Amino acid sequence: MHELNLAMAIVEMAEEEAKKNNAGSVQQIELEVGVLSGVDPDALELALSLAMKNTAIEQASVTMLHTEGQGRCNACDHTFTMTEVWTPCPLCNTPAGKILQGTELRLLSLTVDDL
Amino acid sequence: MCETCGCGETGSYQINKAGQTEPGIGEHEHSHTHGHSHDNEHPHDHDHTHDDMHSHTHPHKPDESHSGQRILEVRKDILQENNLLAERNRGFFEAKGILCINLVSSPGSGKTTLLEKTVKLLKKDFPVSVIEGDQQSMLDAERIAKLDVPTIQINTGTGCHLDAQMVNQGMKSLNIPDHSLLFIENVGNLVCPALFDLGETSRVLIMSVTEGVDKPLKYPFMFRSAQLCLINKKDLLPYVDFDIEQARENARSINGSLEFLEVSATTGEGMEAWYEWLLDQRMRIAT
Repeated sequence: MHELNLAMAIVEMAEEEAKKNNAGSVQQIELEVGVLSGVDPDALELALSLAMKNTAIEQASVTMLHTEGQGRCNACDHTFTMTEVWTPCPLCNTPAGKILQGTELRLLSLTVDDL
Repeated sequence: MCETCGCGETGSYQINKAGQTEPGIGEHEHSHTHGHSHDNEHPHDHDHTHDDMHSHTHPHKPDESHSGQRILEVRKDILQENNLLAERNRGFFEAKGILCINLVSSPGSGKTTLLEKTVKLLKKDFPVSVIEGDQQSMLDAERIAKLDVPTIQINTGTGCHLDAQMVNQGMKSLNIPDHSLLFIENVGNLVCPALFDLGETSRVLIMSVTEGVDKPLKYPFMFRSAQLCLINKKDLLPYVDFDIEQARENARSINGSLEFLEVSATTGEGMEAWYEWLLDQRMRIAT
């Protein structure tokens, strides 16, 4: 997927949050990347290492939280774990359930030094 | 980096009117809307809960400030900026009664030919405008502009998709009339454009019978995000090994509400049903 664009958006958002909160250097960036978000975590990590170069958050470490996918079956209403967007209902095998969780793509928190 | 198409930096892009020689540079002017932020100067209850079935540890609690560090809770969607701008685009289209169709496909599905034929069919009845998206060249915009409809070309440079900012800039230079149709031909790519809402009314995916029936399984995010799948190049069916029913079934296993139409932009077969589908969409936004 388009990880470099996302990495650039993350860097921009992190820099702005740190500045707005009068923070010193950013030590850690915590991201949420749901397993159904369509983003490849390895590719995002690589893109971030490139996008963070020569920025105020260059030295920060990145942690990612991979939120599990959950869906609800459109036929039998069963709630189940989705490892892929096409995971069918395990009870009745109906495909393409409603995704309840797992598409998250968020900047959760920054660990920053006090100024 | 985009591992599929290898695209690189997308900091600037170009918007050119068809027939215009001087390129215009589109800059990403970023405006931000922020919710509240959490600094540690005041106590502050959070209503969010960590109910995502995962454990979540912080090195420090937000109100602790030992060793000179603190945690800023942000909890913002990374695509927030694109999504906000997409909603602004959508609001503009709704207010002006414009039907905006985002055409997505892999390269070579016949998207531009289909668009040419569609514009020819529609333009006698409605005003039509077109935004063409490609990495390079004015070729597609020049083809469409020959049909005498307002057309602009957005060149994404090394970028592999259109985003809401590019469309926002593009539509400002188009001066789109009320109650008209706007077609956006996205960059030929079934991966990256899936993630970027442009504010369109409907997303129409074009696959052709010269592709594999397993496309929906290979690119599930795009198939999941579309409302209609046009199966193009129907006239070539006798010459290729393409099982339409299997293709539909594969797509339905990803997106149960996906609609299908079989067309041939070259022979015109099925184009009437596509035209009717567009009219139906247009009626829906009018009510």
